[in-house]
Amino acid sequence: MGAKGASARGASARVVVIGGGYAGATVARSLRASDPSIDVTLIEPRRTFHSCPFSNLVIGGLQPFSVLCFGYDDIAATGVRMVFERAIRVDPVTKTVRTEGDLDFHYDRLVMAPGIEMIWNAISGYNEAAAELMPHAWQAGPQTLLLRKQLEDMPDGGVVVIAPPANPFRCPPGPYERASLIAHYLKTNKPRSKLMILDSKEYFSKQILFQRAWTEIYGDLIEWHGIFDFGAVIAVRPLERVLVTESKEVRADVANVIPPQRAARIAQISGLADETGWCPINPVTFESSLQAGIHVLGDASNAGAMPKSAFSANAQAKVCAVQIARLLKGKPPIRTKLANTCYSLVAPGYGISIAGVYEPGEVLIDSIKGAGGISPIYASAKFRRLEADYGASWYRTITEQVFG
Amino acid sequence: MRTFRLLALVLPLLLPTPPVEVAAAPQSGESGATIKLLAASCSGCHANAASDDTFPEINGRPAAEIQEAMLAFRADERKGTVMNRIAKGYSETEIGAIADYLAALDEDAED
Ligand SMILES: Cc1cc2nc3c(=O)[nH]c(=O)nc-3n(C[C@H](O)[C@H](O)[C@H](O)COP(=O)(O)OP(=O)(O)OC[C@H]3O[C@@H](n4cnc5c(N)ncnc54)[C@H](O)[C@@H]3O)c2cc1C
Repeated sequence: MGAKGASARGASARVVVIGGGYAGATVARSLRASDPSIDVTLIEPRRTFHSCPFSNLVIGGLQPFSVLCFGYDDIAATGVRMVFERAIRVDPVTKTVRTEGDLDFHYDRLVMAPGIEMIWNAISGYNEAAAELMPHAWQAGPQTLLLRKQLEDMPDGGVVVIAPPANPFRCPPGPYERASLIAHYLKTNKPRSKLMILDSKEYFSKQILFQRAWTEIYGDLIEWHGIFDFGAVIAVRPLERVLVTESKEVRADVANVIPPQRAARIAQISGLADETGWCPINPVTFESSLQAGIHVLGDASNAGAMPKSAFSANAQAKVCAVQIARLLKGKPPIRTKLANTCYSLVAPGYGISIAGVYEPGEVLIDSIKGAGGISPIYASAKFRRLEADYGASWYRTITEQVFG
Repeated sequence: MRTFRLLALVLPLLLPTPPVEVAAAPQSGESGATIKLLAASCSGCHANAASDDTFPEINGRPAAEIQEAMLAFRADERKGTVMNRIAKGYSETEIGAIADYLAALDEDAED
């Protein structure tokens, strides 16, 4: 089928965005806001976006699933052309994106923002079928509901196991926020149960804050084992709900296996990812170091010191939109700084955060020394409550801004 | 008047100029873009989503107030939760420029 839509619109510059998540939806809107003459097409297979931020609150039973669901009508209303299809091929020579439905879209600049994919079988036996028995719930949607349902069905006295991957992965504090909110659910509803974290790393994000809060709030309900205790999880036997580490086998009543990840398929097959599995980028423009004219945003990119968070994806997208608008007009890009703040809820009314400020380095995005860091280790209950409130406000604000 | 003040604040920012940076004479368009980019991360939280008043409103607030608050956070002279950590990532010049930019924004601006 011939080139469609955007290609027919004459002289205006065409930007195609692949992926309508936090990065892609933000960049599409920001491009329109930066320069309404730019013709923006957003390609996204799903009509309803399911947010990962706040999904741990759904898993812990604190929020209904509906808080995670967003449509694209308001984005379309800003003049972004929505195409509800999966992008299956990018041709950087003819500058064309092909979709599953055989539509072709020509671009002057392409933004690749497809998020992550799981590396199946990196943990032996953990494939797509296994995820139906041992959910990862690391892409929100049916997986979130499945994990929630398994927790609801579990009898009191059961054992929940969470197996987080080594770095880098989507949302470094995410598994520990999840552990906290599952612990809250167990403590409230199934107090004889246990939660065990079988980690594939030595230490984790905001560790001291999480562990102190766990002891204070949940006593010995949560047991964390770093890689030096039992070694990494190397295999699973989903039918028996068994996780195998380098030195131990653990049977779980509910197993949440979070496998290693990489940039999503379309980024891999478009030649944008390197041997790390992530996409190297220019730290000023987010343009791929491997393919000219294609910018990579959000979790799929290697954004150096910036964590794979929705906050980062959103900030990067706002900056990238301005850079693309400039490049399309033949203007040079501008160096700038970016910030990130990630809140985690440890219990209702108890929040903690990690922040950072970043600037482009020689090759990567670097963290600015002396800035950022975690919430204070000693803080009042009021401080923790404020950070819990800020976390909830951040979620309302960002989702309103991106999808509203 | 405002433009003049913005320029004065942004000029030093542009001095150490790596190749990609805008070396061009900063007419107001260029400096405007520079500050807009610098302030882009603020709107992750302070974004005028009308429904939410937990985060202090910063758009359209007097520049002097924003600047004073940021400098106090940076020096840990004012207590905050996350702003002390964030303010330390910005120079005095950058804080001045951001404050001017935010002050000039419409209270109801989207970002
Ligand atoms: C449990 C959990 C909690 C989290 N909590 C937070 C938090 O509190 N704060 C925070 O900042 N971050 C949080 N995160 C991280 C956040 O979810 C991600 O960093 C963020 O979603 C990244 O945005 P993205 O746009 O890169 O990817 P996504 O949001 O995943 O969006 C990618 C989009 O691309 C689409 N897509 C994929 N392939 C194609 C294709 N071939 N064609 C077209 N479209 C395609 C997908 O359908 C999807 O809509 C959390 C993550 C998890 C798992």
